[in-house]
Amino acid sequence: MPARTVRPTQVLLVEDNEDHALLITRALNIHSVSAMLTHMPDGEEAMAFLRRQGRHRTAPRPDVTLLDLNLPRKSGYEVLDEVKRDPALCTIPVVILTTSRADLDRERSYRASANSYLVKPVEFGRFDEMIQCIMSYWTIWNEPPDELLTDAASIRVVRTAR
Amino acid sequence: MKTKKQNLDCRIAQTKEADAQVGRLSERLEQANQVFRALQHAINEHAIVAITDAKGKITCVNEKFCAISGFSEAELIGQDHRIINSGYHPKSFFRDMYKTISSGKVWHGDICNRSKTGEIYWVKSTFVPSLDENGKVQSYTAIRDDITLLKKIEAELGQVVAQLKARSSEIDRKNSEMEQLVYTVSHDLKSPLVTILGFASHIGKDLEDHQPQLVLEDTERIIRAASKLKLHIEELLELGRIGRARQPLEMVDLESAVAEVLSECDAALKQRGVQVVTKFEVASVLVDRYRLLQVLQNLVANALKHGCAAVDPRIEIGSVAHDDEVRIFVRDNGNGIAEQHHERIFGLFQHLGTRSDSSGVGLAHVRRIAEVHGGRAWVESSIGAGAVFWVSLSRFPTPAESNP
Repeated sequence: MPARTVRPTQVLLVEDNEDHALLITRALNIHSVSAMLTHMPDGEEAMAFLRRQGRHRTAPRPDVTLLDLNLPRKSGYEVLDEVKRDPALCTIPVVILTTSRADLDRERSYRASANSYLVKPVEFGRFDEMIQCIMSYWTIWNEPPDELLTDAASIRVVRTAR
Repeated sequence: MKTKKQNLDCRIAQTKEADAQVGRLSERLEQANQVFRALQHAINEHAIVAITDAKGKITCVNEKFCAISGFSEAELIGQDHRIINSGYHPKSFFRDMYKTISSGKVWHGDICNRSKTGEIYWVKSTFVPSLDENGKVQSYTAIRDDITLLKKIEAELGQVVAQLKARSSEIDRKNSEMEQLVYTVSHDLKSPLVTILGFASHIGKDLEDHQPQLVLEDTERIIRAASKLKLHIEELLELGRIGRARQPLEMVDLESAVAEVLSECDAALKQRGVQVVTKFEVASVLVDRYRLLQVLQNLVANALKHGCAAVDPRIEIGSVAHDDEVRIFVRDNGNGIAEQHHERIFGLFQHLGTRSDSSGVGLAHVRRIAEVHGGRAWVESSIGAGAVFWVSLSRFPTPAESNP
């Protein structure tokens, strides 16, 4: 039986608010030492990272993406839409992480195939708890099966060929 | 053979019978006359009546006609109805009416007339042609009711309905604006709150871990977020104030207003080496002076922050006349703004970059101030071509309704 290499969970955080990004980073450090977090400050940069374009040529494929909705350059909705329409990316779980409690945002996110919609808590001490929940739920396998990656890659090739 | 007497008796009987018949007929005639007089009296009491000959010359008018038209009977007899024409109706209106009645049909309609003294009055009219045995028109009888008051009420009602409709769409617009505001505000006020409570909950752990440096850093972030929150709230209140507490409008010289604003940001302009050009086609504008200064400040600050080209930055400020408007513009030669953002940037707390020095309310203020002055604010720009921010103000402002 081939030995599996254990690698840390790759988390992509797309967040323009530096403070919130730091809060999420700290929460991850506390609860999930095996997580590797990459922080992108806007939607366009995030898409470049996900598509391994430009300086992100060697970017890892995220196991989960935490996505803010209100982003400069390219909004969270646009990012969500592009990810879920892209056969090579659509299997990456996207967790919307926003301050908006509006039903409209929630519905629109789920319609665009968001995997989860979470409101940033404004209660003392709840932030860490939420990040912990996200991590334990969305990264059950912190080593996604290799065949999934291969499948995704082959789909991408087929699509390009057409 | 009948006797002479018999003949005479017969004649007498016939004459008596004829007399009786005449008596009965004249009795019926008298009755009919009574009815006619009663009707005539009643109609004269109720309506405005005029009779014309086949050519339309007035042959008979009643007292009410004289009273409402202001003409005496003598002045009216022999005239046609043009004497009371108000000019309100098009010629075709009377042409159609004449076509109807001259063909022997009755015509109904509302007519606007003018009295001798120039007063306008409305009558609900019925024109009845009288025909001879050959079906030829002999005369026309016109019976009218004074409906001036009715028409006035109708017009006022129409105005009220129109006002109500305008009001209701205004309320709809304000409501959706309010919804949008609540949406953005709840989002943007909560954001610093997340930061404050998030870092506050770390402080205990920082202390446990004997990390005083982290306590300091976290406290600093808390203070920064709290200050941002305070700023947001103040700006919201300010935005609310723009609509209320309005100062009287005054003629403000644009050149001196712009000079005042430019002198305030002189240091920043010099530091960036920005060339400022001004050109005023319209020299002055009737505005709330303080609000105009706010508009100019915001637009200049906006150009400084977002619209300054790296090489030879240049800001043009000026005014042009456009119909009944004065349009004030601030043009920069910066990177420009993609069209999809042209509306968004005027929204509350919206900014396109990640710059922390922009509060995201400046342009919302500009638009609100323009609206309160009965004008508009918009941007013309495309990527790479700089941006022109426009604010239109009415040249002849009517005092806008005060907000309740």
